Amino acid sequence: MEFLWEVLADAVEVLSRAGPELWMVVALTLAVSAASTGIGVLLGVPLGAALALGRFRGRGVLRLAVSVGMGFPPVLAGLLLLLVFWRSGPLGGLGLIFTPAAMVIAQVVLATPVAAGVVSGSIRGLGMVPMEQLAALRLGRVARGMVAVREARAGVATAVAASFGRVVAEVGAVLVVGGNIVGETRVLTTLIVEESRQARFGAAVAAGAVLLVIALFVNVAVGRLGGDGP
Amino acid sequence: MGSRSWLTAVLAAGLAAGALAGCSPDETRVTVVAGTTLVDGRLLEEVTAEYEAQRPDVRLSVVGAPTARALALAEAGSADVTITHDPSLEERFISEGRAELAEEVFSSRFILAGPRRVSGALRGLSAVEAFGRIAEQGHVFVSRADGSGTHQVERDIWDRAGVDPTGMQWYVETRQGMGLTLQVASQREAFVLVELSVFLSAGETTGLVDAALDPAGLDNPYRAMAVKGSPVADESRAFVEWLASRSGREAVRRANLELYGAQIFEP
Repeated sequence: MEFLWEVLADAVEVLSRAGPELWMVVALTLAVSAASTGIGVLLGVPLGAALALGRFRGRGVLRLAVSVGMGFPPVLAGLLLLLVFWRSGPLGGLGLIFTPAAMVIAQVVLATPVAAGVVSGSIRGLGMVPMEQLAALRLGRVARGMVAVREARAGVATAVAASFGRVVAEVGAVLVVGGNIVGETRVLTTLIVEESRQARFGAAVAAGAVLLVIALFVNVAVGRLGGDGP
Repeated sequence: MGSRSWLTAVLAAGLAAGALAGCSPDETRVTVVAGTTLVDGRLLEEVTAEYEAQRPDVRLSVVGAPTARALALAEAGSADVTITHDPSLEERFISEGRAELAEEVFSSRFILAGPRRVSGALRGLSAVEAFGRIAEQGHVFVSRADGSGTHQVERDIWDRAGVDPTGMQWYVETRQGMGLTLQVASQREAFVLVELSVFLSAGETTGLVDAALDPAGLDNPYRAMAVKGSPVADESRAFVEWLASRSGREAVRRANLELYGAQIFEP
């Protein structure tokens, strides 16, 4: 027990004299997670609506892809993108490897299927009657999708929270494509990995506390916007 | 699945985990904390496997940590044997009476790796001259910056070159192990001070070349120490003695040949 108290006391001390280095990590974590959540939701919501409402060729394949994507191992996504962005790889010329941009791309790959799956599920969850009303409106496809998304807005809020939750807590993909470089690509999760590997447990716990606060804050805020919590 | 078969599955998983952990009661576990460079270079894996084959009663658990961290772990009683490469830190550790036994066991060397088109101009220079040149031109340089033996050697060279690179636009600090640092240097087409075996194992994928500096001052001696006060003091001591013995040195030579086809870690 004494060991744990020491670690906690260390963590409090690390937080109390936290300098620009930690705040930079926090800022990058927020920026990368927000950007990838934003892009993931922008892509995922229309995709989810199309999956729930549309009748088109390839829908089955797309559905399967979304299901696979929702459970896709982040570290594997990271590895595949590392190969693609490696200097001598297919998109190496873009010079994206070990940059925040590569981290955002990796997390968009992780967030989009989650957003699509949640939105698709909540539109289908609206039930038969709203669906029939929707069909009776005689709208174009896009307009129909927009009405359905508006009806399922609590689902959209959940999609934002779930996407953000997945990317902010994720370590495998950002570690592999970002490289965890100080001042450039280090985020809270990769900082925790590094600190615990070096047995600086106080610093690791401090970073973990900040990560937890961010995750909680976003979940509560999004829950409010969507009109309901868990 | 019914509740019965769940139970079976859980039991099977438990058994598998037990088998993987492989805890045999008559095995003594010795924790060896070694420099990350040594662990990334894979030589130690071969050598410890050979020792375990000779001493089936001993299991060596190898953990990689930067030298400063490895010695701190030893001080805290979390390491039985250390194999590190920072002579000044090791001498302090010994003078504080913390080592039961200390032996210099083998030595490799550092090279400066860099992009082909600019490395040629540094050929034959001393490390100090080359570093000065890099700073002058502001060429990107990637540093471990993690308190490792490698990082210490790099800092000494900057000091002697009269350059403080910290905070410079062209100076990238990864604060991580040798393998990742080399990757970052490779992708940024940057210079990096790297231990030779790690550079050789990464091979062509880095796209970097050995700048072929004058090797003076770039040797990398490793010292193995049995930590005083270890609960497995006899086994720890025996392993360090073996590493320094004729048969230990033979094992290091064989591992070198197998991995690199040349004597990179000279016993």
